[in-house]
Amino acid sequence: MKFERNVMAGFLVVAFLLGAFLQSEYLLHILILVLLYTILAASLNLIVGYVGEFPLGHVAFFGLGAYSVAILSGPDIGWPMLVTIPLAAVIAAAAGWLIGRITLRLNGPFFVIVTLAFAEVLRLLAGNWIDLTNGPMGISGIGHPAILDWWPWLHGKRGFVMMGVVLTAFALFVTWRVVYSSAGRAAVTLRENNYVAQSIGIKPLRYSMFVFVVAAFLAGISGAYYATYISFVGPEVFAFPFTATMIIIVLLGGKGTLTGPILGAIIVTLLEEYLREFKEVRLSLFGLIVMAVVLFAPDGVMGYVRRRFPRFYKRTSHA
Amino acid sequence: MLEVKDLSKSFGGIHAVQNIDFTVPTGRIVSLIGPNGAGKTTCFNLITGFYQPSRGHVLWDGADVTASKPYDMAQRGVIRTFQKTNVLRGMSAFENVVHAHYLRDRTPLWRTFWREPGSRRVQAEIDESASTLLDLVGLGKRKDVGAGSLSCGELRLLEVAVALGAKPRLLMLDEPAAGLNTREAEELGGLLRRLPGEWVESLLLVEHNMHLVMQVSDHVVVMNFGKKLASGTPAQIQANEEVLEAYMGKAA
Repeated sequence: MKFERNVMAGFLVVAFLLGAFLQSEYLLHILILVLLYTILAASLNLIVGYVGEFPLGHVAFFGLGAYSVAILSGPDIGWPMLVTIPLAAVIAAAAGWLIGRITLRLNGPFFVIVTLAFAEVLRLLAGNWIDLTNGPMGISGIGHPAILDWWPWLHGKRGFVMMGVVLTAFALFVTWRVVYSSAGRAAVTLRENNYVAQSIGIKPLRYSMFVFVVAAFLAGISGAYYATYISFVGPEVFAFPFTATMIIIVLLGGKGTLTGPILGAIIVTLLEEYLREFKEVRLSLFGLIVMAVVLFAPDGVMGYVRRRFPRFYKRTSHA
Repeated sequence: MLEVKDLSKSFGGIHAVQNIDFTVPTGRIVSLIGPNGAGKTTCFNLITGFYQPSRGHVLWDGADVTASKPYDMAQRGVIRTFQKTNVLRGMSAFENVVHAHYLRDRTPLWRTFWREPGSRRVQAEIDESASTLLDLVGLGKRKDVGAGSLSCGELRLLEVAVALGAKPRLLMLDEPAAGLNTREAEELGGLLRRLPGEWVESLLLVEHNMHLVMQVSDHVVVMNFGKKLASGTPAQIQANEEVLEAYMGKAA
């Protein structure tokens, strides 16, 4: 527990320092991607690792967050970012509640397919509801939070790094609290054994639902962050590449570990950049990596660390 | 404390449980016995809400709790174990019992992000209670072993500790001695005898180990083909001809 907290805090401090001192625009961009993917993967990890289901449509909440910010901050409505980013997260969470009510009654392949269908429906909506989303053209020219204009030091990418550090800190704090709370323990009990959980008084849907909504909320935040950074949102935010990336990050880093998403996000972002020259082969390579991880280290890198150094993790008796 | 009245359950044309009546008074150990397929486990499932009865009532402290949800029964203080061993396999024995303290641990959901003052004390209290329970069932030395690595007998004991972690008033054990050797069963018997009064108010057992049943029970209910065959003290049951017949067959 302390080990995980220190890793998370250390990561945030390093990201802050790198953001403060790096001069290269390109490196700052990579840092922003790492932060973005950390939030997204932390959110997916809550469902994969703590509810124990595998959503293929988690990108729905990411896209909803992105579109919410684009539309609410756009010229027609024009609300400030400081309002629309939290609002985007709330909208994603509300959608999470709705989708969770339907999908959490299912499990295994049924859950996978229905969540995937939701993401596809949203992608088609985004591509065809021209009045609201501008269709396949997407929404461009999304602004950045006014707060980044206050201080010249925060202009450009550095400001987005700092914003990313704050949002990631928030996301990691939320996941940490969820995992080490009564609700998190109840969710894990349900994941491990539904019958035992019910027989000791745990109401099943209540906790999987809670974790699902929190995860949707965080995915909404990452979507909002993405939209304001790229300043463009199109229907492809609901498409498969984002899903694939976050799944790779969670599996590689270690599902059901708090620090896995951080490590996974760093590795995958760097690999993506490093393998860029290989173009299409890159995706095949990722495929191979995922297969290797699933076969040889099903709990990812941090899962291996946890097995190797159990004392960093296990709740043991103090006697 | 627990009263079962005219309880019946049919699955299609099969009458698994028919017109069962019995009571579990405070401070007593009551056993439900009978040949395989007599409907004992179905009775457990009916009482704890895993099945809905077709007919009849379950009364808890005089209130009608028929067909309450399993978690609802647990929150009222009725905790059961399962015939097929059910534990949280991915966790250590200690963590299993810690997680079983859910009802003590429970906080409103918003408290997840804004911890209650004193939550540390509650956690320390739960840790201590979990250690005590593991010592009680004799798994003190195996605390930090993964549940997946425990032996069959140890898993049975862990199940009892998990159930006790939920602080039951009535503990319902479904074949706790299944898979135990003679010595382990004897030790379990000693443990069960110590439970009423100190750890739980009363105990309801389903058990095939006759020696254990006769050793610990205050009252025995015999079922056969879903019906109540007999009930009484262990001595009365042992002398009952119908019961002997159900178990051994008719004398030639």
